Amino acid sequence: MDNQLDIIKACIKGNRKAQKALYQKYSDKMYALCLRYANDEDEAKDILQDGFIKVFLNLKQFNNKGSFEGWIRRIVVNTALERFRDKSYLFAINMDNNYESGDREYDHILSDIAANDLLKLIQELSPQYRMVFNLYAIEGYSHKEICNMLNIKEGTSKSNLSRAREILKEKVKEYYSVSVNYM
Amino acid sequence: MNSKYNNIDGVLKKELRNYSVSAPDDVWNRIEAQLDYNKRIKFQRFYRIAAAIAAIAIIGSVTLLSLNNISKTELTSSNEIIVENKPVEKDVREELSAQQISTSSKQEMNQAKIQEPAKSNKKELYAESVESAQKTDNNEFIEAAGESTELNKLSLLPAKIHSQEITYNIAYNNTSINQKNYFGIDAVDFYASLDESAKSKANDRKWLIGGEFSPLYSYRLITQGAIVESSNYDQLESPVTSYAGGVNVQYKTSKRLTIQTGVYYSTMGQALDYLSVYANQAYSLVSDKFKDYYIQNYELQNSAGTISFNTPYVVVDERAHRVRDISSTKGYFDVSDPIFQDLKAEIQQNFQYIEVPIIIRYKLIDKVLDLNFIGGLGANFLIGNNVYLVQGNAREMIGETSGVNTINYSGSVGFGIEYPVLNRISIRLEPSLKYYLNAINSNSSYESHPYAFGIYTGFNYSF
Repeated sequence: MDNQLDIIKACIKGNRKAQKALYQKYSDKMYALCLRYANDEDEAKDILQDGFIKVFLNLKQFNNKGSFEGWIRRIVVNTALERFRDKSYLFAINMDNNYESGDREYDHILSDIAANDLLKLIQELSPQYRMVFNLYAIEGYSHKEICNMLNIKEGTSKSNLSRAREILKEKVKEYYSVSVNYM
Repeated sequence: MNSKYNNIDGVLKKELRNYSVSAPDDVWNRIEAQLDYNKRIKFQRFYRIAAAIAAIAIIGSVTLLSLNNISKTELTSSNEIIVENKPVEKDVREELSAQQISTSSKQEMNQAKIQEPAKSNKKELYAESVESAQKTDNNEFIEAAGESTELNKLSLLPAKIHSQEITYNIAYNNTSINQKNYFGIDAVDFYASLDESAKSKANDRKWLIGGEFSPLYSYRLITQGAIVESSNYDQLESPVTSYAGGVNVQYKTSKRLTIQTGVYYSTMGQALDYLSVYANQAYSLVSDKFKDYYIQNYELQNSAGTISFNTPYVVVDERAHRVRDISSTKGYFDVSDPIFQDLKAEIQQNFQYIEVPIIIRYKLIDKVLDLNFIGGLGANFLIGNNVYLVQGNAREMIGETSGVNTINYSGSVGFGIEYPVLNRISIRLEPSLKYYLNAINSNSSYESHPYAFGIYTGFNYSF
């Protein structure tokens, strides 16, 4: 099975080797994605498992027109959202005031932080901030899309994003000071 | 987006969007176990449906075959053959009895096959319903990827239980997999609650529509008339195979009680025995202006009334005096003349009805395989009244019965077995007896009440 289309076709037929090949190709990226949405590694593993089960069960619906990785990513993101929505982690926080008091010095610091540590910083956000930040800043969804996905108001999505940024900046600042002290 | 944050988001997106972390090995094991489990459930469902279809086909075929055997009455023209026919009829009854026993045991075996997996592993049954819900969820899920997702709690069920499902797979495979219970719910309690939930949901569906069909063993019961004559008619007439089918709508008034109505088409009737029918070959040879000479006007008495017909055939009663030739001005024929050809045909009386029944179904056993008691009343509207000359598979209409009622009322009783094959679809098998409460011909000196026994097969769709 040389190309992706062959692998997909074999997966639809239930070929276990093909399914494993597909999983191995995308699992690392998707696991990193799950870690961004999950509270801990166990939860990330569960999301990854549920997400790939959905991928295998719905492969016939992939029309082969767009990006296959993007299709898998959407499924995994939605699986994560379902889990958090079910656990009622997300609750509407109607904060119309924006926290836009940041400045550009943190942007430079961010560039110096390893991805693994950035991931940890995002994981430390509360679930509702983490969801909105991930969806907006990393996945590229608009606030309109996010408010539909999370069943919150658009203003809430914007304020959650602003608050998430503020918290991240604080965490970056702490991280940087700790790192500098250890140098 | 506020430009102030473009760089922050950009940096994070650049660093994290395509970031990879090696996925733990045990996740694939869990996925594989789940896929195996789904595959097993899929096959089980397929085999259940196949077994149910096979059972219906076998039972239907055996029933039809049995009814055909018993209704096959050979017309005879000599007393010698009649005497020989008696033990043959007895053999037929014995054969029918043996077939019924065979059918019954086959039916039981098939039911046992159907029931076995359902009873043997209750957890799998629950998981199947969950898997069904999961599929729905997945479909909705894909659609919801780029738009509004107002998910209800039920559609989120699969996400809740993956951990539990895997736990069961672990038990079967003896592999070491994380058995963490995320919800702190005991697995058995969880499935028990799921069972209750599924039952509750099924009970919430009050309406059902369905269709069913059955071959019928159709005859009549004479309840009044000269004893000697009715006794004679019992010896001169015989049952026929007919059929019935239709659509119905049901409403559940309670957990066990259902009211059903619908529209059914059915044919009923009887065969008139010991009548020999001859074709006069001269009829086909003479010119048209002489053909009328060969048309005989007959009245044929039977338990359902008087059949009137005009025909070029010559009808001779071999055992009684049921046939009256009323063409007094016409000639008489000697059927021993070689110009007459014995058609070896049978005369059948046939009535077609549209029935509108009101039926009460009471659930005696409320399990995977339900057992219902069925009883009801029906109004039967006569839409066809024909008498046929039947030769093998060919039949020719030769007349009709006079004076039969256009509306008749019937009662029916039976038992029904119901088995769910899909979430909303179940199949039925219902042995049922229908009896006409009134005599079908109020102008006759006999009270002839048709009855029909059938094994209805069909399906229900609940909503």
